[in-house]
Amino acid sequence: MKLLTFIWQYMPPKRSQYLSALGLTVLEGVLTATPPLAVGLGLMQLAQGNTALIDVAPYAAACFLAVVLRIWVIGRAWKLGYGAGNHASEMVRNRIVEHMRKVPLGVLSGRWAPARLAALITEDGRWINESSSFYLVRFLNGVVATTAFLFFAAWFEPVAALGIVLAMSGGLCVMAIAKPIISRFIKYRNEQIAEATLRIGEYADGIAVFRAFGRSGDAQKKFREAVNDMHESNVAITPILTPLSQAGAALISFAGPLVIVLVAVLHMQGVYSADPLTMIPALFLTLAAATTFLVAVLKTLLPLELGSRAEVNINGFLSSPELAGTRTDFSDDLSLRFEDVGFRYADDKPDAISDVSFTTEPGKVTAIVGPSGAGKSTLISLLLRFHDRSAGRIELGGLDTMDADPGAIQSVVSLVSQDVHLFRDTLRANLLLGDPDADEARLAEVIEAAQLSELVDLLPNGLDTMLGDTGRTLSGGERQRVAIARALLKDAPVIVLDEATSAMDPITERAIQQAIAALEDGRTVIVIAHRLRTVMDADEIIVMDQGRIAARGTHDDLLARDPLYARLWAAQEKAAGWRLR
Amino acid sequence: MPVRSSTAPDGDTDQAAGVPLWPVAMRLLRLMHRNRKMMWAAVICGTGSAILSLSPYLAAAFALIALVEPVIDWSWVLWIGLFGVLGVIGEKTLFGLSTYMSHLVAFATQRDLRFELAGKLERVPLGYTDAHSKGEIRNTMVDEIEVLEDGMAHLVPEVSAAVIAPIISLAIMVVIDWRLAILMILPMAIGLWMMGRMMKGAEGPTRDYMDIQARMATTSAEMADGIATVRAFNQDAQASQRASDIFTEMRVLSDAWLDRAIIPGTSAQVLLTSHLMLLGSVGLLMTAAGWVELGVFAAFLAVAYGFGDLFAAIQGITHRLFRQHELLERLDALRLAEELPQDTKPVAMADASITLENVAFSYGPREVLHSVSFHVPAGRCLALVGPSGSGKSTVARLIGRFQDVSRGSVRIGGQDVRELAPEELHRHIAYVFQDVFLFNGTVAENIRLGRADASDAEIEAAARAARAHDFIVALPQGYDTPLGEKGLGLSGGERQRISIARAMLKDAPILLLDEATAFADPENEALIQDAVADLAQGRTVVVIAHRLHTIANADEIAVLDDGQIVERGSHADLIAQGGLFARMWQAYEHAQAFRHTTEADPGPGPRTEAAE
Repeated sequence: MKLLTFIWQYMPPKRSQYLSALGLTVLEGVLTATPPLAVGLGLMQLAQGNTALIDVAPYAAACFLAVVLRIWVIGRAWKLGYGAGNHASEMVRNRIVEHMRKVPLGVLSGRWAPARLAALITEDGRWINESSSFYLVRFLNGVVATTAFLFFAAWFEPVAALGIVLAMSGGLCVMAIAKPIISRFIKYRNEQIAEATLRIGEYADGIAVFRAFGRSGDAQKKFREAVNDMHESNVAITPILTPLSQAGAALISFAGPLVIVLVAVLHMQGVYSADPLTMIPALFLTLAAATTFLVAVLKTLLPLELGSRAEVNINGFLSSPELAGTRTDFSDDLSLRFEDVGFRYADDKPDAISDVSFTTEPGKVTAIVGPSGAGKSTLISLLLRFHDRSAGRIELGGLDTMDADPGAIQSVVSLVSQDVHLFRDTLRANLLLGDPDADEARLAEVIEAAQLSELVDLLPNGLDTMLGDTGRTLSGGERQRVAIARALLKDAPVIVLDEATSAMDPITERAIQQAIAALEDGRTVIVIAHRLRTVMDADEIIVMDQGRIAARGTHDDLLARDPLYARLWAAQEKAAGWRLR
Repeated sequence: MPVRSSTAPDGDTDQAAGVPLWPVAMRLLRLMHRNRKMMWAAVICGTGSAILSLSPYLAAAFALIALVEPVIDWSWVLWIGLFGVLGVIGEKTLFGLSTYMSHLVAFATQRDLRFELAGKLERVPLGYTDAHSKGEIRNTMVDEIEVLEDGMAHLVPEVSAAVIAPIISLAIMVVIDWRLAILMILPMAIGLWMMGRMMKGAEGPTRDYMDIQARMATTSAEMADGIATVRAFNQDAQASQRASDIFTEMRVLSDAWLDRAIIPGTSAQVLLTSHLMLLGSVGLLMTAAGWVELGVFAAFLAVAYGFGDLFAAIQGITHRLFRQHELLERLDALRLAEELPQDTKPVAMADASITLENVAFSYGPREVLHSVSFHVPAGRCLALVGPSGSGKSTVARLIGRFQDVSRGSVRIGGQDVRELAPEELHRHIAYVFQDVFLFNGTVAENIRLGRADASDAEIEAAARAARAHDFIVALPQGYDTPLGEKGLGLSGGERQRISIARAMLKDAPILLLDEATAFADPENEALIQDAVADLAQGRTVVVIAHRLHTIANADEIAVLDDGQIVERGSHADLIAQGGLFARMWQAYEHAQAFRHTTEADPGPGPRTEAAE
């Protein structure tokens, strides 16, 4: 039902169309029930004896015409129903994409990682489509036809209806009882399998290393243990799981024989005598009811459940909060101020950063340094509103970032990090992301400044070469420079740099530095530095340690009075003078 | 109806048509060969179950015959009913048994397959994992084999049930009255014929529909991957418009597919499930006309119900078999992968020297190393430098025989590595690569990978030498702290030191070192460097270097460019030569002097010098 309500929400302009489809489906259900009913009646007529052709002709005609009519109705019903379903799925998918634009970016790297979102749009979207159109219609048809069979069976012979109801309710009861038990066993089995899977996967991941250490024998032994464990838990659980999951449906098959037994026993005990004449259609309808119930009702329950699960998944994403804030009136100086800022990734987690206060000034370089895990990147993610802070206040250009339009923050701040996403498109399109309106002259200028000219010359189709897995793949250093070129085109006054941690060959590294220099020129720079040397000349260096600011000042200041900085610096100098031999 | 259910969800019926299904079934059966006795038992039970599944219909048939008799024998009717009940019990029991046994066969086969593949992974070149990502291999070993369960455990009993029962019921019907049998089959035959015609006409829209499904999947994945980036540039409106366009196109094509492939198919669908259409109508008239006896007609009708939805079942099975086909193909890619030739005659290595002679290596058709030669005497150090992609790592991997050369030879202590037993070769070489693999186990167990029989004291000594002891004792349970996927996460620098400790423990005469390309924080880096310096003592070292100053004292530096050694010599020689190395060195020095500043051009040297 929740599934139906969910689809209904996205149906508006097609609601009446969908209702007509459901109406036609009810009619189709009745038509499905007609031939067995007509034949049953015809048989009854014949059993009375002395029947002329004309007496059974109406039944014969009904049996034939119902099929003809059904062919016409089902076409209409499906066309209307699927059309509406297609429409609703389109709306649902658009809604998901709309929401993707508004959630904090941090959400998109956590629980709703790209692969999960893509599955939400395609897979879950498809289940919504399938269940809203095909399975729901089919289910309805099954329910209507089964009810019709049941009704007429009761009309002809109450005992038959009793048998059907006994078999069906028995089946449904068993299914209801078995369901929690089954899911408990499945959960248990899945845990076992997940555990074994982990161990099997580890073997696949590590085989090269094990072999290189000449230890593949041990690894193989552990692997065999894991596989054997998995096999054993599978074998232990199947004998329970298989009958449990089939028992419910199995009971339905008893309907026919059960009715026969009931009628015979009741008659022989003298309790109740069924009319043999009406028993003919009743028995016939019993078979039809059981088959229809099994095929059209029970077998559509699973896909409908999958549809419900898709609905839960999609709603789970859609209910994650969106970023608020609409103001765009930053003051011109765009200084950045952190005031006692604190943040935790989840309520039950410790603070990732706490009590962080600092101010950056326009046109200056602020460096953030510190050991890994000190909270440097968290600071940046709060500034860009990948997450919203838990405590304190962050001001950009005089505006609280929580009140500011997230898009507006993005347009005054450029982030350059080592994660560079390239689209499967041309190099030109990938660059123009920075400014879709840039003209050729501007593009050429930026390519030059970002040290990309050489690459462009080398590419088979220059700027129009396709990138990505189907086209040319770029090296890490090249990607970095594409990111810088994009930032140059975007021309935001504030630059946030997360220095690359991976070393490249010196020529590439130098080229990137030159590109960065061009980008930094005249802008406000906040840089997360891994090499202290590169920020020696920064206007202010903030030393982070365990989520707090340990010290701040210029290089000379810090060297003189901050022991952590002095230690880091000494270690770096030592490393710089190191020789392998 | 079945058309929709079997095509739409996975959208590959048209491909399925091109796959010969019988061979797929045969391949599945071959996989299960080792457990064939139980498999045949499953088939027999499945067949028995299929036969008994007709019992409710036969019971109804006999009951109907009994009921149209002038005098009704009620105890006979009771027996019929009881037999029907017994038949159903038998059917379900046999079906359960069949499913159970086929599951046992499936599980056993899965286990055997995993063992087989694990054995295979022992014999492929170590470099197999380069061309096939770990994820891919893991996926095959874990998930794909898991899905085979459907093929083996479900298809056997279900195929027996879906095919055998209808055939038997048809045979019974022909025996009862062949004219009625024809009447029953006729609408279905017409439906089948229509279906065939319609499928031809629907090829275009179906293909379009499959295409758009694939494209939508791609666009959605791209949209999800890129959403953070497009939002950073405020271009998300454009990107979401692109997605929205695809969704609209999806609806339009889906509607078209509906109109041209599904709706025309509905008539066929209805006919396929309407066995009463002619049987009921004409049959009634025939009975009224006295051509058929009433009892016979009634019995026939009951049995006809048991014929069931044969075509739906067959279509569903076809679709699932196709999926199995894809899986089997992928499994075979690993099962049939080329193995490293092994020549295990015992040969002695003279010393720990390394010689490469005219070595070439190709990845597929692309030759990435051309005629590389060098000699590293025992205890000496060779540094490999060069731009990324110049072939440095490939050289290191060929020395460790992760792959075999395509031309020339790699010799260690005068012996061609291809003539050495792999264990022997690996015993002589320690690796410290950037990518450190930690498995589920304690810190101590992870270090012990270096030497299985190492004592705790030896492990601690190795950890101390690797500058890892201090951080290890600070862990919650010290050396007994679990690591790996489910254990504690270590920082990159700490992982590096664990791998150095392994190499320390292994104490091999040759060290292949890929200098870490990722910057650890300065303190970690200094510790790693100290540890590496100790490790390199007295061994033959081949080091891939990125920071050029670290190898200033190497005995020889080989500069690789585009798969060839273009320069070689000592640091001083190479600087003096003024070639590629000298240029790299100059860029390196400039890079060291780089400072972040918002003032114009900070770096020394002209701006374009590096772009040469």
